Amino acid sequence: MKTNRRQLMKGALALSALSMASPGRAKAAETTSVTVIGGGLSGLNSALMLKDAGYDVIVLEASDRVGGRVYTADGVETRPEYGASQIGKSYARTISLCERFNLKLIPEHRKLMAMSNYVNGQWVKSTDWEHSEVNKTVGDERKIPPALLSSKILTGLNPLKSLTDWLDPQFSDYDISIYDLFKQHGVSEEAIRLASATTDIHTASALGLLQEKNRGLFDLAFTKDVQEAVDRPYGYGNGKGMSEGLALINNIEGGCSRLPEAMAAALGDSVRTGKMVRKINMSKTGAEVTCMDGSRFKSDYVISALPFSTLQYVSVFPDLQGKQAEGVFKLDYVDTSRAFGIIEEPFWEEDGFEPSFFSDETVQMFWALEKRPDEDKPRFMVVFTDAAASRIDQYSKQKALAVMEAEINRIRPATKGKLRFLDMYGWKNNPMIQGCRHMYSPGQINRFAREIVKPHYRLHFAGEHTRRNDFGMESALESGERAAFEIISLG
Amino acid sequence: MVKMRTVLSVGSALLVLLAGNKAMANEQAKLAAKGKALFVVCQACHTTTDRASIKIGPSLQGIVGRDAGSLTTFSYSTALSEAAFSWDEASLDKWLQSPATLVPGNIMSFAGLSDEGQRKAIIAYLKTL
Ligand SMILES: Cc1cc2nc3c(=O)[nH]c(=O)nc-3n(C[C@H](O)[C@H](O)[C@H](O)COP(=O)(O)OP(=O)(O)OC[C@H]3O[C@@H](n4cnc5c(N)ncnc54)[C@H](O)[C@@H]3O)c2cc1C
Repeated sequence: MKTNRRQLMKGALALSALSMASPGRAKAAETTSVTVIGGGLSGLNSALMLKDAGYDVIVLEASDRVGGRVYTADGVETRPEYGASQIGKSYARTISLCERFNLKLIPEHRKLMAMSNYVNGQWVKSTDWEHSEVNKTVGDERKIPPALLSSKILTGLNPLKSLTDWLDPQFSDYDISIYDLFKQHGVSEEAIRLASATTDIHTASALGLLQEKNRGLFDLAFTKDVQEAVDRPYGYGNGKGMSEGLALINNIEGGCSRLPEAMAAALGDSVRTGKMVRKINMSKTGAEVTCMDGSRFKSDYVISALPFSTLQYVSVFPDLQGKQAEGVFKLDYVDTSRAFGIIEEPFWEEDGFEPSFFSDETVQMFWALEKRPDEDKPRFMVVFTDAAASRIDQYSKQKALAVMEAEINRIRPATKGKLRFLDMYGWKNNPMIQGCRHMYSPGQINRFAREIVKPHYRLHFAGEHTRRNDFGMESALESGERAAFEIISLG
Repeated sequence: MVKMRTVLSVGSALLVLLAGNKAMANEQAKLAAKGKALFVVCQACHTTTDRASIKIGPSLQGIVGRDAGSLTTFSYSTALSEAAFSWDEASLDKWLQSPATLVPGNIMSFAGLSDEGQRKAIIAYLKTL
């Protein structure tokens, strides 16, 4: 039966009259050309690029601030960075944005003092480690400080050359656990045990971590000092451009949060905080995004710049399919947790060991940081990664800080009364993100890493976990750029 | 008469040709305009205006026809400065598809564009620089 137009109109009128009468009626949807979900670096970069290209955009951010995993704790005495801070010399997009927003890059001032080791219940200075009886690792492993074992051994086994190699099926054999890879290459039991103190050796894909290692090595290709050290005549460090004078690792003056804030300011009232998205509905003609507060946003396209850890709570219609669905629902996230404080007195003068330390006990790493020019006392950070972080974050913040302090005092009595704890932040406990970073499990890169970035109807995907080439902040910007590009190229 | 007809037919052939050229030029201009929009994916690293102005990558002014790795204002990777080819449509197409395949060991961090139409458009735009 053909419904005639008048009937339809009548129906629509009746419907709208009904909704007018009902006190809980939905607010009218706002309409733009693209809705970006998530106000971290990836979402902000997508939005900014689209706005620059003349698109009308809106950014919906669940929390009350932009920046996501970039989070400068401005209210804390030493203004620590809860999240990202280190900007590599080859971070093209980050550097370009800093230039655009007149943010100054300064050499990293988080200088770590030498690191002693508390292993198997005994203290060993870094300089004595190689020949110490406490060191039960074998052969060349003996030279590697325990805190770096996992990282250095992986670097030594890195078969990747170009930045996209990790997605090349040629290297699929490396998509196994770090434990299995280390076993295959005859890494000693003790080295594996110590590596497991810093890295999830059973649950992380070696290939995923190798992607990061390889990107790190690429950064070195941009540095003159290393160029000399490794005798590779890469020309970059003497660049005459914007990156001139950049150190290998840089920070943003005034805190890393100044970057997402500047991006959001340039986007003006397109950025809405306090907007947690719960539903994405797509049809042949457009998309509608609904937030928890009932507000609705209509657009031609949607970009999800959410970590999969929270995208999996969003209802998507038509449903995600196949390998992409598998990626969204199964990609794992790992934790990083850090406590921050001030060293009131140089306790190391009392016990003679180096100020920073690694331990194979509750406290994974204690970093004593050299005084910045503007400080009169050194700072410290207590750093937990992977399982060690998830463990400490099972406690409340107050309890976690108490446990940490008691443990540090127990294994290193000279610290008693000399550390003033200020704050701590564990990323698993950020409900909007639920982890520090994505981590492919063994086999998952082969399973779905190539597929997860493909657009799903009108939905495009950004976020550091959808990287192809980069890592850290730069990978978030890379992914945002790719998603914006996908939409721009549709015309 | 015969002459006249020849002249006419030559003339109309010319006209057709000219119109064809014009259509082609229009196509190129359209493609270049699309390429300009797609250039957003290049702009974090490259300027298009002044050859001396450098970001992480070299300026792309006058790129088409230039020898690879040849700007004196920029310090290239060894791989690229030792490359012995010039940037034309064919080499740019390969480069944009996968820089690491065309010049292994170069240090441009770009995943590559698998879509030929996108590459063609960007190259059309590069030609205008
Ligand atoms: C401890 C730590 C240290 C780091 N150190 C460095 C470093 O030194 N250098 C470096 O380069 N990188 C570093 N990184 C990595 C870097 O911070 C991240 O890669 C990057 O910030 C991720 O950006 P993103 O946009 O992908 O995700 P996010 O920043 O996580 O953004 C996602 C946003 O989505 C929002 N959101 C979630 N759910 C919803 C919803 N339903 N509706 C609306 N919004 C929602 C979240 O609130 C969040 O703001 C570090 C990360 C951590 C955690």
